Amino acid sequence: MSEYKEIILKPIFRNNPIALQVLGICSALAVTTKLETAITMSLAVTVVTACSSMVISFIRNFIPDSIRMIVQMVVIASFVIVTDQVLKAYAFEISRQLSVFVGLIITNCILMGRAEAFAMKNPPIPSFLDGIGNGLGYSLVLVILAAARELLGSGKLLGMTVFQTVNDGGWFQPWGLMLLAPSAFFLIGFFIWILRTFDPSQIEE
Amino acid sequence: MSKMKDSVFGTFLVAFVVCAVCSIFVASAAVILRPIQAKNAELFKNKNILIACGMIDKNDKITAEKCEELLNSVRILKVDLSTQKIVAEGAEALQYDERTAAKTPGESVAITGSKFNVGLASRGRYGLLFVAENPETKEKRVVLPLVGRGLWSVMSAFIALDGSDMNTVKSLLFYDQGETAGLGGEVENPNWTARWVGKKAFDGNQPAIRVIKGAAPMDSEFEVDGISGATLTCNGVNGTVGYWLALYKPVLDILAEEEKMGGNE
Repeated sequence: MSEYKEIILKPIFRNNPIALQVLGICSALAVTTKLETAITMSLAVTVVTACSSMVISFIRNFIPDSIRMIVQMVVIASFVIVTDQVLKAYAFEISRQLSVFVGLIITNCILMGRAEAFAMKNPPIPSFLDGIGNGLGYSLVLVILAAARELLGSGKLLGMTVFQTVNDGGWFQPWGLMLLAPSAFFLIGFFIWILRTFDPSQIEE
Repeated sequence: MSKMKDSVFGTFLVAFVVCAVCSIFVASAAVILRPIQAKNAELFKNKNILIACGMIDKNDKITAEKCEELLNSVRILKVDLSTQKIVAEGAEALQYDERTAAKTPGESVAITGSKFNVGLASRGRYGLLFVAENPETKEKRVVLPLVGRGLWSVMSAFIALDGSDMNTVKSLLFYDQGETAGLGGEVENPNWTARWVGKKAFDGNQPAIRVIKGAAPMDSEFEVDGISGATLTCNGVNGTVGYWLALYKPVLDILAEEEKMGGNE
């Protein structure tokens, strides 16, 4: 049991896909201007990573070496399309805001990375949990970034006003930079800095 | 086992089986979810009609029932675009789908001879028109549906004109398009469509409103700022807006006449 717990918890802080493995940065910049889209994206990536890792692990002994990456991509792409369809059916407005980024989960390096590094060598259940863990690690960074960007950039959280902005007659001057992509880079930088201050073993030589 | 899977036959077999299973999985998800998605798309379209009519704000979250209730207060006309005759009104008119009609022989009219390039081969014989009055502000609007080719896709939009002069643009909303995200896809961006508001649609009888390359002069009555990197999509927007405005112009004149007579609907 403790071994499973370890698989889930390790990618959250000690081996975070964004902060340490530096995977999945592109979508972390794109979908984090609002908390709502970031949470939806996090869920989508976690579900897809977990399911595709499990399926790939199930068939890992049958996958020929020469086409293993293509087979992984086919499995991942199928789950992404299905996730996209489900979002279009049950979370239409959010799926419009996420637009191309759900489809682009296919190119999110976390999925290929986990399939290749973990699922090809481990049984289905640990692979599934590894997918969940990495999805959660990604989600953690996304949610922190989105909360900071939405709060500082538009004075809101989940669309509800926290700081009354100057335009609405309040006191808060929105920090426009926070709504632009570069701010996500700075915030990821700060996140990595704080993480490595508490856990110096993550610092590269 | 391992010998088998790495042989040429094994490779083909695995590839085939994986593809077959995945395609069944994807196809069944698409088929099962389609009715719900179609419902969403319809609600989204109706919501856009209401936004264009000035009945709701674009950030309002409304239910399907509320949407239907509000649509009942909008005068919906189905007009024969060649004879300018109203052939149906209300919910019956709303049933009409111009895109399906455009592809149905007998229901469609070939598009020829327009100086505006809408990028489509045919249109439906009839067109919809929405006339709305906001119950609070008493502001009247006339909303026309637009459809035309951008760079990659067929784009759908609603344009609202001021009901008192049938000329001043009140809103423009693209609700369905497949242009490049971040470039042509910016036609959906409310910051850009807001630049259309207050411009004049017609100069005399001719549609004059258009997107130009670069920034439009501050005092320009008819010109709208172009979107950088999306010139071809903007050309499509110009063709689409111009084509439908020209086509609807006689209908708008009739409505304006009605309005002047103090005609009650």
